[in-house]
Amino acid sequence: MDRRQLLLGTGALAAGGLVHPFSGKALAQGKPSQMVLMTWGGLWGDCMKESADTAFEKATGVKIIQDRGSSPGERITKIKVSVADQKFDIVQLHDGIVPLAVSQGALEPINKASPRLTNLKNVPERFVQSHWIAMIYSPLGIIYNTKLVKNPPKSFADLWRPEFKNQIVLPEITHSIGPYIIPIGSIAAGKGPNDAEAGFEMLKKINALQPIWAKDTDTIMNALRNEEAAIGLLYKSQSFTVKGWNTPVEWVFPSEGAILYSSGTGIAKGTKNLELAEEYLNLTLDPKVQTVAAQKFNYPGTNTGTEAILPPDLQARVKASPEEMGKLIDLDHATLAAKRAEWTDRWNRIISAG
Amino acid sequence: MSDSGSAALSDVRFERVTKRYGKAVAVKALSLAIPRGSFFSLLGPSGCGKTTTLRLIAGFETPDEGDVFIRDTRVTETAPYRRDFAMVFQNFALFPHLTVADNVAFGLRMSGVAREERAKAVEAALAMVKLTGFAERYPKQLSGGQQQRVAIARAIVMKPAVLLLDEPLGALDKNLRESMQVELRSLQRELGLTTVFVTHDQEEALTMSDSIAVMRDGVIEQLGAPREIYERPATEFVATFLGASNLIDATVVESGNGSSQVEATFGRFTLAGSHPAGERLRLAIRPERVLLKPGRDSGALPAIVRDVVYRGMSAHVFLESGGLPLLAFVQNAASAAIDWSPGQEVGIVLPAESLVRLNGGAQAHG
Amino acid sequence: MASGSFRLTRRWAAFALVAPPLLVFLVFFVVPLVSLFWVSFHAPSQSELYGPELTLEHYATILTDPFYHTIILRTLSTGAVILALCLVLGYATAYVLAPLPPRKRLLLLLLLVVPLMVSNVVRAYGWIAILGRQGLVNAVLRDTGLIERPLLLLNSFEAVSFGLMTIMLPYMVISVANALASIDAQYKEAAQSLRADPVRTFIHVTWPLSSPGVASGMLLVFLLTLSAYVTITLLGGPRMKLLVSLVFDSVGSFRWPLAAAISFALLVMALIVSGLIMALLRPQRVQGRG
Repeated sequence: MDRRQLLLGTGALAAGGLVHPFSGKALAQGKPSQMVLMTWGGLWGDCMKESADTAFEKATGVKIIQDRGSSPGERITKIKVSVADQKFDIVQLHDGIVPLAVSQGALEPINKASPRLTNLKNVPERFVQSHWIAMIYSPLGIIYNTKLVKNPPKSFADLWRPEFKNQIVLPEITHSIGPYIIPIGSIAAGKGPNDAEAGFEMLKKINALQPIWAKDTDTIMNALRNEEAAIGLLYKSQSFTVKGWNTPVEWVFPSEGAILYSSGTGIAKGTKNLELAEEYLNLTLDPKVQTVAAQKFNYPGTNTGTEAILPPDLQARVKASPEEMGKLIDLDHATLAAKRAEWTDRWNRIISAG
Repeated sequence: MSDSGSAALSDVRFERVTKRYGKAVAVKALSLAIPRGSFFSLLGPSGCGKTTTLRLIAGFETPDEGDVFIRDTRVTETAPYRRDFAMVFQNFALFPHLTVADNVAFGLRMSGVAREERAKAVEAALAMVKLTGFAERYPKQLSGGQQQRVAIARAIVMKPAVLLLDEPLGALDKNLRESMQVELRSLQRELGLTTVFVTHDQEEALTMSDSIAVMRDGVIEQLGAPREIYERPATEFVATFLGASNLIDATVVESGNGSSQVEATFGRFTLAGSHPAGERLRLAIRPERVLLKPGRDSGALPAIVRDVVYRGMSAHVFLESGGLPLLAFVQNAASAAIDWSPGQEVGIVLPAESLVRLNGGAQAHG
Repeated sequence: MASGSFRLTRRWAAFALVAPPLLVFLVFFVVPLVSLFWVSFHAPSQSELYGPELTLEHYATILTDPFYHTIILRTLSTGAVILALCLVLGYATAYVLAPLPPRKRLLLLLLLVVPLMVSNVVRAYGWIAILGRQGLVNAVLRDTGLIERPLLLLNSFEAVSFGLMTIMLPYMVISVANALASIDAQYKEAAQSLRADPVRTFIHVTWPLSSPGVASGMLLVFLLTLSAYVTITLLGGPRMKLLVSLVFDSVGSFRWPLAAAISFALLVMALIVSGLIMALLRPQRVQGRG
């Protein structure tokens, strides 16, 4: 066989590959061998792998690859950058950053009528947004050390008590819930969650009490653990972790109401596997999958059916009374996102310029 | 030293100075006095202790035993910067960040000399080393010879009691070196500076010095004027370190009338001075003092020419006599005078007054 | 003609030789810098890297806003304190190390470098363990009854300066020790032979001759201080933010153009202070060029 023949031969082979109806390539277009999920690393990523990813692979034969390296903000940027030839399929985000993801056009709108979203009917409306559906939630309230605090706090306003000087731990502005101090301040001032001016006035007041500003949730929990802080803001779910460290703490549902925190899943804009992504999204709403998250993190699931299948002790932990559910405060995340830059600046001027 | 009269006139004096580095003795019980205004050379191979001696004067080293005096002031423990000396270093050690003028002015500035006076002195010193107009240059912008002059100017501007020179010409090429030798010497004479010069170059020492101390293993082997050292070497080491010497072992046969007859392997010859018969002597004679005669003359000793090296001004004639290799330098006074060829039988004459008896006697084998 | 074409080939060969590093420099340094500069003149945008309008507002903010003045001043004073501490402590350490035999000196310098192999994050947490409210210092003070409530040692100017200083010190020591070790001992002897006592020998000879090492050490220390982030964040907290923290905060709130403008402010500060260091130390004088 001379060179010319060889070239002709390989050309024919390649051409055959393209047109053959049962070639690997043609099959791949219908069903990929793998899909990419962007989520948090560490225990959360492991939890997703163990629950949703495994269930998904079993059901569809498609393997889930986790991209764990980036923060929620970076996930949005990554999706935006590769939108022309989307490499990502599913993305997990917390509630606060969803408006940004939507405004940046990083998410596909959710087709609520999709036949694949079978679990949607059991998820309360407050957890379902146009481009994103919450998977777990937790109330954000007050945690305090029962040994160090003699007079237990009852409300957000109690955080401002002078006796807590030097002993309050709060998330700093760069924390994903950092800006919440403004609505919380506004609430503590009795103005409801939306009076930013009242919130900043309260920020000045609490800054005078020299709080410990924590850059992440681990720092908040550690400050409580080693008794640097006697009181602070924390999710109810994480309070069980601190209790597990034999720290004498109690979590309080503030009398003004707790802030709702939720975290969930969206579909990357321009995904090549929209239907499969919907199937994965549906899995995140599955009580069995949400149970794993509850077991590992004490997060209540957003599916109303989840609570029922939990073991009794766990049920007691994640259970919220209807009254409490009624007092969960939905923050205006769109406004918070829009104000983030301005508030970061104002916050810095109060805290850093001292 | 024993002579207190000369001690009073000396600018540098050592009294039984010993310096050790660990177990090694660099300078051994050294006593010496350097007369005022003289050019004094410390000559010897590396490791002989000459540099240590210089550094003991400067105070960069402190003696383990004995005392050092500069102008009759005991400075044994005095810090270098309180001693009255100046030094030219082997690689000049000019401060690279200072101009020529600032380098020369450095010592005056440290001594608190006023700016104006300083400027005048610097100008004069630079003129003396023919570097007027180079004041604002930096050392890097100068040639090796010019750097050398700056180093000298920096030292002489201090008008020190003693000027120390640590092989200052070693870094220069041959031609420059010879002209610097002359310049340095005339400058020293002009200023009447007591100078201690360290060198391993015997020719340089002979050219420049008033007196030379030949050092070996931490002691002075011989101290004297260049001519004395060269012509009357006291030891085999001095005889061979300063120029070439023929070494001859001989036995005294008879003696009388202020001269002796001695016998070596190649024959008998006369030696000045009386020596007891039977004494074994070690003799030295400079190659240029060995006289060659054509053929076998009576009174001449028999020898065979082994090789001749033509050197222009002279010829080196390598001879053998009675199994002993000998060397003769023959002046190129006339073409015939150097017309020797290998294998030729010749006679050699060793003039009695040119033979030097070395200390230490003859060795068992020549 | 032959020699002409040879010369041409040589020129091409030379070009081929410098082209790759030049290209790398262009692509990875000049182009990003220029594009960053371009970004800094734009209005911010919530959905894009920058908005379409051109504006000078970010630079105007940095130049006129008292808040930025406070932060810039704080950044400069932190840098100055760290420079001063590194200079004094680093020079003294280097002065002790320099005369040691090379092998011993190398060993000790290596020992100094060992902490650099530990991540800054780990070291910052180390300082937190020492200076924190529940840290070693407070525990000792409380146990000895000197204080009742823990002192706020972290999140302060002192904590940041001290923490950064410990990170920067090895750079200073290494560059000064190398400079000192390479000074010929004859220079010191020459100075002494010219009536300079040890103090004046140091002032007039050792110090100027070591100035290249001091300058490179100070530049390293200052530039690393300006760009340090982790240590500042962990030890300074939100109360002791420096200019670099504001770059991060601006990025975190999607104001890329402002972040770019602050970055250029940092660059300008770096250039000015570097120029000052060079002007004060004049390291080029050792090369005999004024």
